[in-house]
Amino acid sequence: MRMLHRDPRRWLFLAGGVCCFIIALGIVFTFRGKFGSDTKPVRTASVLPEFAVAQNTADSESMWVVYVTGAVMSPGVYEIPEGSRVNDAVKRAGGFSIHANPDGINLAARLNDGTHIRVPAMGEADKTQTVQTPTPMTPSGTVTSTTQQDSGKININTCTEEDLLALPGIGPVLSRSIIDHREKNGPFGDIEEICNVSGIGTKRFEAIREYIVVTGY
Amino acid sequence: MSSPVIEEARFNAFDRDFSSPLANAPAWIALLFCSLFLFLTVSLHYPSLVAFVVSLLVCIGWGLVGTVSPNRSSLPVCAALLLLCTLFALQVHRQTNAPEAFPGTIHSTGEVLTIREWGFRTLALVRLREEEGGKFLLSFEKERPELKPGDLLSFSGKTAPFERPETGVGFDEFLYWKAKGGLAKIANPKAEKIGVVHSPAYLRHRMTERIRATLPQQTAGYVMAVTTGERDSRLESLHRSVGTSHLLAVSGFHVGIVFLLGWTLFKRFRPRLVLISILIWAYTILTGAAPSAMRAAFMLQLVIAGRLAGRAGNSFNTASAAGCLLLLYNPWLFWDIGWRLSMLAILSVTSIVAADYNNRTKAILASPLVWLATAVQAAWTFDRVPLAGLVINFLAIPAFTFLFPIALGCSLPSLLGMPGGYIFVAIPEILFSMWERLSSNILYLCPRDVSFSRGLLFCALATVTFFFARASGFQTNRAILASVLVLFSAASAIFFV
Repeated sequence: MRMLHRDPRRWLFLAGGVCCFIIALGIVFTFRGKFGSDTKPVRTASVLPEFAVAQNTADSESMWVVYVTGAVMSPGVYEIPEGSRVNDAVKRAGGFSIHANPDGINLAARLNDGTHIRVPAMGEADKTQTVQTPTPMTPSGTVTSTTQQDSGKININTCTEEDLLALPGIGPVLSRSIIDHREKNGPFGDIEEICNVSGIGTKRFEAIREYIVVTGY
Repeated sequence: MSSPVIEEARFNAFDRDFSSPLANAPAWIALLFCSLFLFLTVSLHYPSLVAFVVSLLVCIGWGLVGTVSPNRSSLPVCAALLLLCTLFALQVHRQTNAPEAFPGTIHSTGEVLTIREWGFRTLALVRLREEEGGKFLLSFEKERPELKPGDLLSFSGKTAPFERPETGVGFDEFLYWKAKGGLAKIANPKAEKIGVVHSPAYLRHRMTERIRATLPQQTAGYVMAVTTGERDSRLESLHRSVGTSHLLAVSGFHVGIVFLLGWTLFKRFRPRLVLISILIWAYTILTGAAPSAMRAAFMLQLVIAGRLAGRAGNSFNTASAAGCLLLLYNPWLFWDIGWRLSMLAILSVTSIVAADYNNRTKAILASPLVWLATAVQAAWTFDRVPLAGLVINFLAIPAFTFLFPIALGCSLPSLLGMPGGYIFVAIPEILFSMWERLSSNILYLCPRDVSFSRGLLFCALATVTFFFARASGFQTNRAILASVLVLFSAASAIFFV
């Protein structure tokens, strides 16, 4: 490295350089907001395609809000297009983390607005309820898959009329009554509350109690 | 630290003076101009003339702040830079203001280059067979033919321009696909496969199929990433969680390994550098010519050209020149996240290499600086960056410098169908499992993520500016001043613009 030659004009260069920066900043300030629809920086292209789809379709489609927690890259509350499945929400949260147990969650299950999805970590799949759906009625009514929980029971807070027909002793009229009761009074807090539905007594409840479940209220 | 990125930079002689940035790193000034101009015109919608003046003033300011001893020999460099910047600005102005030129409906044939699952859709980027036909994005939402890269499609449908976010914030479909060469999109086209084009995309697909069929899952994922640029979703998720995604993207790291392989293989051949050049470009094209790979190939090509011409240069300047060449070739690459992360990483590494620190300091500083420089962009794009990446990358880069060649070597018998190949493949499979366990444990010890914040941005800006200034030949006090100026400008812009 050769020795530095100290030019007496070096302070002049420095002052000139600082002036250039200040003038450039002044021009940016002067012309700010005068061109284009806005002057905010554009977020760069995401390599997460699902994120992109969610952003893009936000204007044209109604969106659902879901809460993704557990072994995912970025747990949090996300907007996803209506009709999405668990897989879409998990991808929206950045995908599985290194600790995730992919076998512990049904990625094909349909979602509802307001669903809480918890991706289990290795070794905790058995003791965790992975998908919790809060409200029974959703715009599209695509709740059938989430009503079938791990144990195969029907979630009476999210199921449809057709799902209820599978229960012993429940016909179309009772099925409609249960749905009406749920819409009128909100989700069931406990499976025993189904007895408040007119037409369901203790005997009928005993017949169906093994096949029903309540989550996510 | 034995990173090939650093190794490739060591080819440069340490021949710098502290007189002027124009003498040390003129290409960095050109890259600074191009980046600023693109950001102001396309992202902030400033008129081209205003953007030109602002970018030029910043570049002149950078040059003057760093100059302590003006040199007459810098004048031709200055004139060449001005010419280059003007031509670049004119080209970008023409491209951004020209009306979109594509037909309303299209009926044509084209080769499938890439296929991506995109939420509920399947997207296929297709290059028309006609000369200057361009690339179109086919978006299949419902029915789609079984597509593979390299397929020849006959398709028809209505074209539509790519969309930009109305609010300015959000995914910018226009910029994303422009960076990949797309002209327009065609939603739900009628498409039919009519043949196969024996192109690099087809070869890549066949190689991927062969690797998947013959190698165990982990080794297959890594070998696929290195040889074809295809990523295994499980491995991608795993590496993203520990902050080492760059190991799966074909970048300077991989091109550097190919360079070292070529250097060893062609030891006895006379036109050694020419053969290495051919090898590098063949590898880059085979892996899909990702911006990060192209950047590395350009950079090594410049180093090789310098060697052949008997000249040595500043590695920071060479990296800047490679980035600049890519922007001149396709200005839209500025919005490609791969290009950005690749440039930030290589400029950080070379800024350390080019500066006058001792080797131990360089080894200690390189990894944190790369992490800091890329964390801002990664956090902005991906929301969060694992803090563990700071530690894991210290180990990952040297480890994978050996793991990748071992995996490739041990996979060859299986890939070639030789008996007993599975015995060799067990070696990388075990090594990769050990690595996975190690990185998982480090992540367990340091599970925190860093999200985008102004603090992170300012910290990164100040640090990166300081090191870039030092690599450009600034004295330490001038480099600090440059950092302060950039920080002041950024803070003013963020809070008031």
